[in-house]
Amino acid sequence: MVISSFKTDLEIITQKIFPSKLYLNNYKYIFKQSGVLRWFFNSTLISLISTFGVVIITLFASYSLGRLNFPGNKFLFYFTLAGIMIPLQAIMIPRYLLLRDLNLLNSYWGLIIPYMVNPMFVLIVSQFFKGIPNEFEEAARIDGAGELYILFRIMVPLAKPSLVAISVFSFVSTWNDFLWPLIVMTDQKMYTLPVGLATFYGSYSMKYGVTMAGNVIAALPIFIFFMIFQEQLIQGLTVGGLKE
Amino acid sequence: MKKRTLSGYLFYIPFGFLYILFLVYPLIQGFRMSFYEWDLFSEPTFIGLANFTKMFNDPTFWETLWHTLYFVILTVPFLVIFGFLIAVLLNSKIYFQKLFRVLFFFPYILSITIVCSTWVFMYQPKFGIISKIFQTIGINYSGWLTNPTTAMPAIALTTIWWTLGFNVILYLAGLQEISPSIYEAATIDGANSFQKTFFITVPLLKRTHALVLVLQTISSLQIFGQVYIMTGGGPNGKTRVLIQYIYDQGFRYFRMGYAQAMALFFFVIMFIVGIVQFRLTLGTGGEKS
Repeated sequence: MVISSFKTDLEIITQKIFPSKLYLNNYKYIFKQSGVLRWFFNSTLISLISTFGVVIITLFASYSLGRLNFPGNKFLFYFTLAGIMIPLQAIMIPRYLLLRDLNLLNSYWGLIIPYMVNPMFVLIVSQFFKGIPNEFEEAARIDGAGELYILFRIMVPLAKPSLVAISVFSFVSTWNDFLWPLIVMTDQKMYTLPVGLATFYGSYSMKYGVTMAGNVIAALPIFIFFMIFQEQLIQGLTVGGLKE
Repeated sequence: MKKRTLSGYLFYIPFGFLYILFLVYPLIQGFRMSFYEWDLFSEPTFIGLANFTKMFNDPTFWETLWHTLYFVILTVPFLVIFGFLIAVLLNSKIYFQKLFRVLFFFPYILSITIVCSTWVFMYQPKFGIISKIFQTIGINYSGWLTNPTTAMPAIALTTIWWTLGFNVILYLAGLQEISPSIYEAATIDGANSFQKTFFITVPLLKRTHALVLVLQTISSLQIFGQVYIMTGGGPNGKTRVLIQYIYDQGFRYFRMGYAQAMALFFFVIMFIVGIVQFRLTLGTGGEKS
């Protein structure tokens, strides 16, 4: 893929293994002809904000479900649990109509806000919270600490592995999502990278060199991200898969 | 005590509000919509169960449902079996274990567009590497994505390459929970590594098998993007899958009620698989997670 991106189309068709010289026109072409930079920016912005949002919202909800004893806690837990049974595909049409009514189609928030609610994440983190022994919290309570203090100063550091795991998982799945951005974004400028490239390739299907150049551009940040967060990523997927 | 109750509700509210707005409300709205005919532009008309009778009499619906199941049949067994075998290999003491783990896992985090367009390139009839490999072993076949018989298996192969790493990781996690002393005991009793794998590892990982099987079935049932990018449903609709049909009916032809009726049917299938999942994960306890 990387090698092909530096070849001319003629070299690809004649099946040369290595390009005769470093051919950069594929890259020039994709930067000029497609909105690849814009899509890249959209994807980054959307993934970062959704991840930040989902972590904060999940944190509060999980603390409420996992650590606070109040009437209705059990009910809310099962209510949340039911949510993991709803696949996006089953509700994509009514959700699209809802966003239309809220005037959020073709906007960043239209993608981001729905990404910020994830019942599975809440279950994972609240299970993690439940496993933390009471002693940690009681000492602080005796000293008169409030809930916010306990949540951020005591619980967050202890639950760090599960929080890192859901952030990484959320970032990667948002970055790579295809169906939801395809539905919400109809304006070319608002596409995310996967949707933008897919549409772009669809209309220039014979330009394989350009396709590979686009793929290199799109894969590079994920590759770097992967190299840095490998361990957390693998751990995150395991936690997400095993602790239902 | 009372203060804790208050913060309990307060902390749940942001999530609860968005959850109701973006998951619960659309689901209820979806049930309602499926009894209406609606093209987005005029007023919706109540038509009772007509969408459902139409669905059961629509050959394209059954065809796309079959294509979806066909895809599940093509991918799930491979993904589960190879996922397990590769995990067992990686778990034994081999050189470059970490490197292999990364190599198998990396494709999974690549975006669907990158994976699919690269494979389309490799399947390309004239200069694609896959056709080339087959040429060198004497098979002159090039219609990977254009021939109805091989198009779906070709998409399935891409998907297997793409997502296998995830199952490997799940199995590796399961394997690491098995105590080494069991294998040591078996070695003393004279078991070879083949016997150890099939008589110790396979049964001990019952819970992981169930989990991988169900998660994989769920994600294979949701197939859409690969088909959308690689063949667009062609040749001749032979790879068109259910989600794609729902997407087309809803967002191309604006038959909102009809598309939603099919989406509900899909929801019921997923719900049944989900129930099976709960049964399996709860029923085969004994292993700790």
